[in-house]
Amino acid sequence: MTIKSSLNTFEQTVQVNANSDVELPAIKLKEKATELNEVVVTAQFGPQSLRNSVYNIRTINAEKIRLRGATNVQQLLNTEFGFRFSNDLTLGTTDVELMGMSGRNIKILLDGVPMVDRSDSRESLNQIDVNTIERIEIVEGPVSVVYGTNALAGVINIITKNAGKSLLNIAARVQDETAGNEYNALKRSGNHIQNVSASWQNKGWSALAGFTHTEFGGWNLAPKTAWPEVVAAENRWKPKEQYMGNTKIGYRNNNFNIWYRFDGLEETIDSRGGMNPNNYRAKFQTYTTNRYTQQLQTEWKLSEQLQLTAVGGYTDLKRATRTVQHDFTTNTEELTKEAGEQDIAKFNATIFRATAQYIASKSISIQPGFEFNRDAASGQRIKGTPGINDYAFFISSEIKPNQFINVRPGLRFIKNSVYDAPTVIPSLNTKFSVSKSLDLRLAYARGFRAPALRELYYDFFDASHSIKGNENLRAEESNSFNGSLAWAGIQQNDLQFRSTLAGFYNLFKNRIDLGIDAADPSVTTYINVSKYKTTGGSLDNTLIYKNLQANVALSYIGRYNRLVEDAVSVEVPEFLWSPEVASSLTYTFPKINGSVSIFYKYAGSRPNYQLSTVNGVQNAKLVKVGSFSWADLMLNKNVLKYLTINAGIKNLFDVTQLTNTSTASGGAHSTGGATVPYSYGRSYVLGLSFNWSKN
Amino acid sequence: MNKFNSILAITCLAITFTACKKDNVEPIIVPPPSDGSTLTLNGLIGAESGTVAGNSVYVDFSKDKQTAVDRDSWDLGFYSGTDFKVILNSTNGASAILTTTTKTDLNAVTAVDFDPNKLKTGQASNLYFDNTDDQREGNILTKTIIANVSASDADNKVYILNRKGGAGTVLATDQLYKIRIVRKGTGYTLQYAKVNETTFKTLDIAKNTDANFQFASLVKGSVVAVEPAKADWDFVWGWSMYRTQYTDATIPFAGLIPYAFSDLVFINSLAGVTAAQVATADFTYAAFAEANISSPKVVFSATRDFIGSNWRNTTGTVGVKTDVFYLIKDGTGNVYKLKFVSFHSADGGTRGKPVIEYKLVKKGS
Repeated sequence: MTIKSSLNTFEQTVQVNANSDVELPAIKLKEKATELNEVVVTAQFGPQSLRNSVYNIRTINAEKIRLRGATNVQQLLNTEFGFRFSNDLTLGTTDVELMGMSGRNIKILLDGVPMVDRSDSRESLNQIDVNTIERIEIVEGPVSVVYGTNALAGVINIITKNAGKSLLNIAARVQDETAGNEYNALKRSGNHIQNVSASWQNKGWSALAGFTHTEFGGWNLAPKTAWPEVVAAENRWKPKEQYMGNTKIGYRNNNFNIWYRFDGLEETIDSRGGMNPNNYRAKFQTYTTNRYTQQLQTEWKLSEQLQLTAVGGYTDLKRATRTVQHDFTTNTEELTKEAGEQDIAKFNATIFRATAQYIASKSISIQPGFEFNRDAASGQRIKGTPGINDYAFFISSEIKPNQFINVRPGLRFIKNSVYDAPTVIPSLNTKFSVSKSLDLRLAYARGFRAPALRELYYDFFDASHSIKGNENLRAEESNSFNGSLAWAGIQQNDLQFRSTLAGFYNLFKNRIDLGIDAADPSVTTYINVSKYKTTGGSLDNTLIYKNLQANVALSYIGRYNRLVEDAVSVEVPEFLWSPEVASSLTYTFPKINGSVSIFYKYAGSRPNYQLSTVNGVQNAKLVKVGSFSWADLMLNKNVLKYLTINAGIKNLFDVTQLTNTSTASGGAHSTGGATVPYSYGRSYVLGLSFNWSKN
Repeated sequence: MNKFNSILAITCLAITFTACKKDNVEPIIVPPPSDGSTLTLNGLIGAESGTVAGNSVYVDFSKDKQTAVDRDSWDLGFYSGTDFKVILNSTNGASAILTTTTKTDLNAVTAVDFDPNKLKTGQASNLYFDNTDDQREGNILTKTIIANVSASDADNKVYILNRKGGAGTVLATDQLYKIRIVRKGTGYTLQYAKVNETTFKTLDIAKNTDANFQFASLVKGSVVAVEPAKADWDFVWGWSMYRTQYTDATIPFAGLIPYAFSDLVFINSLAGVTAAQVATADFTYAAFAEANISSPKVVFSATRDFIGSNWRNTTGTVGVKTDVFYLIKDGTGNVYKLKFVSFHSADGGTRGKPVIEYKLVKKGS
């Protein structure tokens, strides 16, 4: 027989023989390797089982996070299907892409509070302490009715840890990785992470605090006095260091829950220019980001029918650029005076969201809500000190005429102080339980992306840039159709199988792109010009057999070929398709408290068409960014009561640059030739984690 | 056991965090002694951005001298050679068009006789050299927008001059000039007025064989000094209307279009100055000597824009190119080697104040 706790991820099998008394030993519940009945919260009226959610949600659970031994969020997501990362080696940042859409269309939430980014790439994703993550919930497709702007391609909601069940818990973690073949113990070369955290809970009160330091020593860096041309060679990765701290204090009882959370980050990226051999001088830049996020959240159950939730958040983001001229002959440095070279860009964002959940009857529940957002910014590259206020009222309703049908219509009404917001955003999500093990979900949703502060108020004029914002921008809008069929066919004790087939079609209009200012052709500005489409499908399979958990997903995603509109005289396909295979495999050895996991992803080559004009005749040439296979092999073993060792190899196939058959764009941030920088190569990982609890 | 593990963990972390001191030691370089001359070109008039430095700077190696001239101080250059040719002030982004009438009486020409949009040039506002001197030519006199001044007055047409532009912009109509140039003996007479004025003024300009050009300012209404005597400068540095390669795949056009920017170096080819580019892969700057001038790798060119903007990069690795240097042969046969040291904060310099280093390698006759 199996003894299960009320928390359904804990269980133990006990041998019971017929006709004999069994003295049960002290039953110690241990965490089961895997469990499908995960609970999700993103875009839900309340915590909801994954199966009953009207959205098709993917989760990355605590166990998977632990097994991966990740040092940042990117390492958690890089073998998930539909995710891609693009690296800006000039700035030392990375942007994420989900289902063919770049970061500016993805909303990243920390416990439901949006992460603030200074521009439209989502560098904030890698500014979240990976040690504080309990799980990640990913909703594909627009969730704009609930979460407002940017949630077009989807939402990545990072759920942080709570104080555990024990009275006191202390955890620590040290992990070191090589960066390719470069490594120095605990600092500089390689990838290093150290973390300590503690949590306490008693009689409904809880508190936790964590502190993390990460250091990436850069990779393939040029020698210190290398000439500028040498420094500019391909695929050099800038060093990055982060200090992160967080704390969470809360109180809960049966009807009431309130908590405060603080997250702080300081990140430093070093950018060394080459030494001019004529005057022995070099330009060094340091980009320092300070991010402070505070949030206060509460849930109040007034009655069985009525529950109130409120979220307040305030984020303060500063990014300082410091530039010096270093003189190698005198070993002195002086601050430079060029535009933008000594700058502090400041951003702050306030959010308040209140929602009520009212269960009108067994078949109807309603969720009205109000959201206020304020974004403000200042800095040399921002015109003035603009502030944007956004007010939204949203309402959605869950209608369950019978146990097989769940229909959830929603509306969001928006009023914005600056740009022309779409006044109302509708969505309709449905779920049909076709049979006990088969669920069909169909959804239509409108999404929108508000013009970012930078797009409205950018002011960047220097030697190689003449870009200004456009205060007359409208929001980008999308129409999105999603469908999925989830089959939980086999649910036996030691064999479980689940498969989800999903498809989507997204149509975007009024996309904001850089274009020539009609009033002043010497200036580049932002304009609502283009259309974009994405479409595709995925098949996601999970198999659990005894101690083996296997997941294999296939996806085939088509991105819109913009030449369809540009090139009048050339025949090109409307969509550019790229396949992916993502897989994870974990085998646990209960006897030795260990496990072995393989995380694998194949990302197919990515086609594109490059237009050229030769002798007055247009040609569209098919060009491709090459395919790659990424694999991480990780071993975990509990060695002492409180100590776990993890070791492994990340990027087994030693991916560094992706081939690219397009001719170099000459873009300032496209490094070197045509290849695409992807990683710093195969790295070897060794980590030690300590976890001590007192009940 | 608990204690042991706790101590172990704390020790690990303590070592880790105290180990986080940065390695900030930078190597110190002792530069070899320099035996040439170093000159910082004074491109800035005031606080303007270095990308639009206000001065043109004329450099004379034999006298170790630079002459900085406000780019906005003149409008037309009258050729002092045999031909009767007039150039626009490309260092001010000037442009000129013919009127749409056949009137030769300047007083009769008004704002209805032209379309000011046709004066746009630069920044892809106009893909053609149809309102500027053709910057694709190795000699600026080859294709001037103002036709050769004819001995027959009736052939000399009225032009509309936008004296300052270059970035797709045109001055307000009341700031545009109407001009007509006729010969006067061995010199020129300039007739000019603002387009909405009804009485034109005249200015006589005599040729001066010691100089390439004589210059006139319409704003001041006088002849002004710009270029030093033609034997007294080797190259001029500064902002100017020039050209760039344009490829817009969405329209069937690919070619050189008018485009203005700074740091352009034009040699004094009208006075016989020639230049050569030397790759450091062939000869180092320090070791380059007189005997190397006869190397087949050294090819002198009389093209005005031979150096142009080739000496520096503004995208990718911003800075002076460190893999080339130049040779300048002046009108009397002196050969100098010339190295651009810095021009931008990215290479330790200042935009608008480039630094050059040069040295005589062969004495002329």
